[in-house]
Amino acid sequence: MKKSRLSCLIQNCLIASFLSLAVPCGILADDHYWVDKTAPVPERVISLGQTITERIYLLGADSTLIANTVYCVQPEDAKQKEKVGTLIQANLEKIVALKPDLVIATNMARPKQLRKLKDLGVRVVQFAYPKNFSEMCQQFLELGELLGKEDKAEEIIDNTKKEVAAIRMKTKNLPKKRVFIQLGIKPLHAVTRESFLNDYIEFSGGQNIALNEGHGTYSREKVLKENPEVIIISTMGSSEGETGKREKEAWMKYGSIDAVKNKNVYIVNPDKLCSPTPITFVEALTEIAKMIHPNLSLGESK
Amino acid sequence: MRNGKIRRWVTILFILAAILISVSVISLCVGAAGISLRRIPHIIWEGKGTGEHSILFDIRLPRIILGFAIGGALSLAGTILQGIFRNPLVEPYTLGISGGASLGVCLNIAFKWYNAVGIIAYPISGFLGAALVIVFVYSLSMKTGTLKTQGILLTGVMISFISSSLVMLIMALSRSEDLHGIVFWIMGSLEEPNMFLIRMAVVGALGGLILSYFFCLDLNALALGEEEAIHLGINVEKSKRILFILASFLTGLSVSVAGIIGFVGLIIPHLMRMFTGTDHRILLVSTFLAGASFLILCDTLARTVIEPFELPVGVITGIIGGAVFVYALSKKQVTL
Repeated sequence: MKKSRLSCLIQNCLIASFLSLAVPCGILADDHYWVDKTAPVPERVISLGQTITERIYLLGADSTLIANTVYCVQPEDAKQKEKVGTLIQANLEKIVALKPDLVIATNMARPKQLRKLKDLGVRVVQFAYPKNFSEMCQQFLELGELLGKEDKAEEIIDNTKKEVAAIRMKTKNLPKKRVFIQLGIKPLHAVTRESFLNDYIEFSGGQNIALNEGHGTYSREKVLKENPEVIIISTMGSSEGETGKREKEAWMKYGSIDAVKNKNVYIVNPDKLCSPTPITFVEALTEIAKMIHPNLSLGESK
Repeated sequence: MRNGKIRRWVTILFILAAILISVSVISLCVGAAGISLRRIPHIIWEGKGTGEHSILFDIRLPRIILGFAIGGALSLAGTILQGIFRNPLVEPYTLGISGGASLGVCLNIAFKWYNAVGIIAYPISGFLGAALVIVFVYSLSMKTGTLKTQGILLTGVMISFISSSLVMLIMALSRSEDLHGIVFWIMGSLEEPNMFLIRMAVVGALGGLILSYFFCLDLNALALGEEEAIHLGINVEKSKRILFILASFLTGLSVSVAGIIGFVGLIIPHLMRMFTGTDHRILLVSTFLAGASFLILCDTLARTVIEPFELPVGVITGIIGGAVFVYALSKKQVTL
């Protein structure tokens, strides 16, 4: 008994060290978007991200979802699933104990944790935060393929693309308005071309004043200089509570901005804006298009 | 008299080793997976292949081993540095070594060196950053030919400030996905998938412990003051230099593998000095063992207190270490 325990331990160390030597320096990004078509459809899936959970529900694959993170609260049923930590810090033990055949992570996950899971033989797929609308659609299709729900995914994406195209058609010939979407307050954070949020502006016939910024940090001075016609505030906590209101009041002091003159300063729920599923994208796009062009009539808008 | 001392030392070592072993066993047995104690002998008996076996030996055991190495190395570095500087507030991180390592890792993340070199770029850049700071601080203080302890301390503290400002600069300029990479690293964690790095940390820490023993008598003499040590026939300059480099190496190694885990290197040396006295012959090894046990214990708490959340281990070391230390200080009424 004692001997076997010891030899087991030594064996473990040896195998682990061999593994570590064999794959000493894999690159973190090695299997973003990797879909193995020959792999069987997974039956025990763990989601490590709020948007991934939402997308799984949209695809109707929630019966295979065995666990998610504590922040996965949409839809209601997602709250009932087993919890394995947060978006950025998962509990590896718990994941392994649940014996998943697929773990889907975002690029917020700790690289070390994902590597460890892979070393332990768990299949891990990582989806980065989409940079634009078409990337989001692509990811949704890949997720559908991964979960054996290609048809459903295609159907949803087809509908989404149609709705988006309809909105683009209606806004195409309208005058381009200068728009500023504010994501952070201190420091002031803007939406740039790097983010899929930029597509909200482009698709609804607007012009992003921070389009060509290298990174999102922006200054109030610049906003004054660029003089946006519409300001949309969507910071953390802006939907409920005082943060959004206070920020709106702060903008209202600058009477020289066109958006302020015409009272075009809006507050939008960031959960809706920033967690991209095809359905929420259309909803958010409709909302923003109406903010940019108040006279626009969008038939299917909610 | 002499026999009595040796008996006391052996008892201390025995108790510390027992604590270390029991903490490790406890750590192996508890966790979020909820494997019951009674199942554990069974799991070990069944051997590899089961998920539970994998949880015990592939997830928990490497963390325990790394905790042993990092906790031991940091405490040992703290003891050595407090010995050289005769200053109770010195710890491995005061000398700017951790700052340098953070800066190295931030640069790695910001310039995406890990894409070229792979995941190993994290520890390497951390270690290079630490080494650079050591060389810088050391050469600045060596201007006059002797290692000025006050100078080195002040330079180190300033380097710490400069590097943390630079880290903040990089954070302010970086994209959000890089940002949380930096934050992860700064929070420190014993989760390390690469067994090679874990083994390296163990070898480095134990090697440091052995090497430090060649200088335990010098440290004892230095405790009396540098001048007294010279009168006792110690080559103070040489010992100080070697010990400084050794402590820096231990810190750099720990920081580059596990990130920044505070308080271990400050509190454990003080705590052990209260129990063992100031004789470095027993102090060095007992701080190593106590530091190892302490970090393993803290890590166990970090991953079990608010399950399924996993707290950064630095949170636990700070709270428990600080509280225990203040309590011990008020009880014993000792001066440092």
